[in-house]
Amino acid sequence: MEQDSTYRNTTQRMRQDVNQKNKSENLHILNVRTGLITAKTKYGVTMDEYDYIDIAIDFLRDVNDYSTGDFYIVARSNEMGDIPMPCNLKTIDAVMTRELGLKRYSDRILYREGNTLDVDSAVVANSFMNAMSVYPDLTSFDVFGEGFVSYRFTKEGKLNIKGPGQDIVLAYTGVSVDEEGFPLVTRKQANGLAAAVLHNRTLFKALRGDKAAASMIPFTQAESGRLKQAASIPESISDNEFDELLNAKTSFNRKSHSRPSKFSR
Amino acid sequence: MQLNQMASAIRNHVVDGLNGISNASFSLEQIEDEIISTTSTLLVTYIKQGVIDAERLGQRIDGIRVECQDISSNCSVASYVNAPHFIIPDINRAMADPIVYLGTMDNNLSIKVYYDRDFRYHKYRLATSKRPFAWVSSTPNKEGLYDVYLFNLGKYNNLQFISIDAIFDNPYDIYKTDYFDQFTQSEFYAPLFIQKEVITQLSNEYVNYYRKLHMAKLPNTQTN
Repeated sequence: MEQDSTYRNTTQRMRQDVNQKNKSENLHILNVRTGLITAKTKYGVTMDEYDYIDIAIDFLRDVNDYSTGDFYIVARSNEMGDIPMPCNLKTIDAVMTRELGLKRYSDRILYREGNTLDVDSAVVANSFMNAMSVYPDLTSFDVFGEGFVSYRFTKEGKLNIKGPGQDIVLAYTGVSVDEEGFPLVTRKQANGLAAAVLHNRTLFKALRGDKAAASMIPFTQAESGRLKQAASIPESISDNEFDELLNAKTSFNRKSHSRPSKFSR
Repeated sequence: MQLNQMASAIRNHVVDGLNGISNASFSLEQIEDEIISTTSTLLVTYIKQGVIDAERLGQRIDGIRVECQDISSNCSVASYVNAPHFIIPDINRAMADPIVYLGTMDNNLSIKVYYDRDFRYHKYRLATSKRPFAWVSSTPNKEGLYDVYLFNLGKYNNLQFISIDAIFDNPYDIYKTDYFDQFTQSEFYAPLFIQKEVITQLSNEYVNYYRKLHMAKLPNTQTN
């Protein structure tokens, strides 16, 4: 019993250490709602959870720094041969028969049914429709080899294989999401989201005639813009380092030569 | 303080303030009603000023039974849209978000609340269109309570009980519901400084109101 408890404590501590390490490295490990509680902690403002999530997804789309992972799903095609694509899909790695696909890709993360990131599925469908109109050949893939299944994309943003009622494994690279289907965020993105909440609430009050809130708008606008811009830069390459790289090429007559021109972190 | 203690305090102030001017008597019930309406007004003012946090003042009701009902308020004309339904006392509609929390009792699922017909556009929301939402009717039903309908419950479709944290216009209306035993009169629902403000404001109003009537001074009979 005691041994179990020690083991559990050690495992828990190790897990905490890993989380701490991931946080310090600014990896995508935080729930999207972290921005909401950060807004409360940093600025003392809060907002409706649903409104926040909508704003957060819009924000993250602008920032466009998602964490990706290797996923797979097991699905059965309908009578038309269509299979709805997972909502966090970014790129397809392979479409295989169930038996061989599981043998090859079951070490990936199984994307759970019911997870929805509606906005992503819409974007996926739109981008494929655009691709179809510009490069029709790119939307159909005839592949050869044991276990591989040929597929094409439909206008509805679905995957179509020729056989109805066929079990397949779709291995793909997708956005890392939580159990509800919302993308995970970094510490910098959480801070940026908090500032976005602050700006939103200040605007909301100012538009209803609050003069004190109106006087704060220049600050909140600058703060949210600055942190949004900072959130879009991965921690591994900082803005200052980017700046130095640019200086190396354009140092001639550059006013901000050898000093940082933008805030980072 | 309790509601009746506050009412007594106000009546004592007023009677003392008008001593020698009027011997008007004030019913405690009337003062109690005015305490509740004044508290509602003061809460809105202080929350808008940022002095107090609305989320810390919600009245909690747990275990509200959810039952399906047609969303039409007209008994003889059905809308043929049945939705999970429950009733609550009126909320303080002057606030931006009078319902602080509506969701499952284990706090795992919170439900978006619409106070108007904007719920029609829920399906067009950017990322939360498939998540559940509630519509609080803006008119009372025949019981004097307000209907709340739930939509998009998905896997929670068989939800039987629900929990709510809200700032009600008159929390004593909870006595009209089946959940009356969750509300206590042992203490007034607003913080002490609001209670003091209510007593001061109502006492002033009464005294000034009756003084302005220019009532004839009564003879001092030394009876008071």
